[in-house]
Amino acid sequence: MKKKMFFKHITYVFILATAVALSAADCVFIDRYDIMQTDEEGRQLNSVKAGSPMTFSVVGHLEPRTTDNNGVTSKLVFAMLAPKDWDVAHQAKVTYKTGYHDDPEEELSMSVIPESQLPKNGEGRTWAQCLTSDYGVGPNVLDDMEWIVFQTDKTWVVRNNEDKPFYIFVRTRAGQRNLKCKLGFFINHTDDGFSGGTDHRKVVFANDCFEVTGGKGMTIDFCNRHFNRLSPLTALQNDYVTISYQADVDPSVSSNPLAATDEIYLQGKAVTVSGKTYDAPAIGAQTLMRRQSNLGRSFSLTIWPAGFFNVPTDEIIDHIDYYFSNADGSAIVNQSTDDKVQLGASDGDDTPFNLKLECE
Amino acid sequence: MKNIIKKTGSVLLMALALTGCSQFSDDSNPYDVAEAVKSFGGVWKLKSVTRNNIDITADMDFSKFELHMGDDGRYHIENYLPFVVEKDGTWHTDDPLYPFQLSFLEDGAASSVDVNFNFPVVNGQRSLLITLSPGCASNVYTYTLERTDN
Repeated sequence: MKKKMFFKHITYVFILATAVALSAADCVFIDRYDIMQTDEEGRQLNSVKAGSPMTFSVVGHLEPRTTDNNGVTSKLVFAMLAPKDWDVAHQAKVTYKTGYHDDPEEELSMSVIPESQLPKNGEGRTWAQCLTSDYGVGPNVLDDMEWIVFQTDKTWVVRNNEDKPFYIFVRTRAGQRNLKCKLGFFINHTDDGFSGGTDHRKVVFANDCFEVTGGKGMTIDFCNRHFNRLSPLTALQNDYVTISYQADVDPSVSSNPLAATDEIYLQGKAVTVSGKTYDAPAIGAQTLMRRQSNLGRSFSLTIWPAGFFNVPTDEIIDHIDYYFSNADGSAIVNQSTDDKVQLGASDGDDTPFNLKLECE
Repeated sequence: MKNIIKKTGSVLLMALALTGCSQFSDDSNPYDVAEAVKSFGGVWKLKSVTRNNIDITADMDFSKFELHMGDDGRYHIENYLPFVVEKDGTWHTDDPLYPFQLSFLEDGAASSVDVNFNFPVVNGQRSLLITLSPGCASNVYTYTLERTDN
């Protein structure tokens, strides 16, 4: 008898839960995205020249399932993951077309959500903080990317079963730095405001790397892990720069001569704008890189470049050439080692890693 | 009636006498605790350093840096690390009771470097929090300094 009652209760709870789930299921979907750009010759490329205009688009639709006769009153929220160098928040013009509008071909405006407007279910965090804590920088391997969050200027009332598409356009400009990254797109709406679950919010990261060429500096590769890693990505001689050796990028000793070495040293030289060179301290305590954890094989050293290379205060460092070495200098990892792993070939064997000291 | 005039007159006289001798009066409220003058004098060492909100204190040896702030208004730095000033000079605050800004003037420099700071009490000790960008403007560091006993 008791068992029967229990099942009865369980059934009620189940039906109730389903009803709640259904009533709340105003699902949003991302159907496709387009990151290809057309160059001067009409070719479709996933790359642009530094500083060029670019257009990205995202197509999706809504499937509102609500028991509320008044429908759902909300603004569509759209976010993009892009390199900080692009300054999307200030450069981009974001518009959208939607089947909910009288004229589905008219492009309507979206604006950056102010920091003070927190998402309804974000537990006191800003939109960007919510996105960063849930998705980080997606498949990218470096941090210098940001989520920029927009909302429709118009508030929409969406009624039950009114399934309609939307088309979002981001017209912006590439930054000046050469880089490769994987862009990300996110859809939600203000009435949901970053609640749990994935019915109301969707995220997608581009499969292909998007590249900016013909600009400043060495290409910063957000898409692939390399033997060397820098933080921050832009620095001057009076910054603190963390240089890391990521040995696990290739664990084979034949292509990574330091793959099995536990004592790694940072070596190299600073070259000033006047052409003088200053060597790193000799292999020893000052140049020993610290292992980040016993589990991973990543080694780091944080330096103040002017102090580390003992450069006089009246001289300016233009760039740093560096490489990683074992204790007796018989095995090293440098740019040539990295090129062989990443590109399959390299020009010679002795090209060092290069860090150009400049700001954005 | 005469009495009243007399009394009023003497009261007025007393009042006059009192205001005339205001240097003897004590205006302060005996129950009020006066705001203490904030002292910055001493030797300050780096307790923690963040770079773009990430703690990097353990990543480098910051322990030797010393900022000597003399009560005579002069400062100097030992075992220099990137800071808002480098050469010896003079320092002052904008307000002895409610300071918001520390100014450092290097000897021979034309203008001072002004830094906003926080001065929280941590474990009964004043800490000095300074935010600075000695390299690229996009890299922001926070130095938390603690006064040493010597």
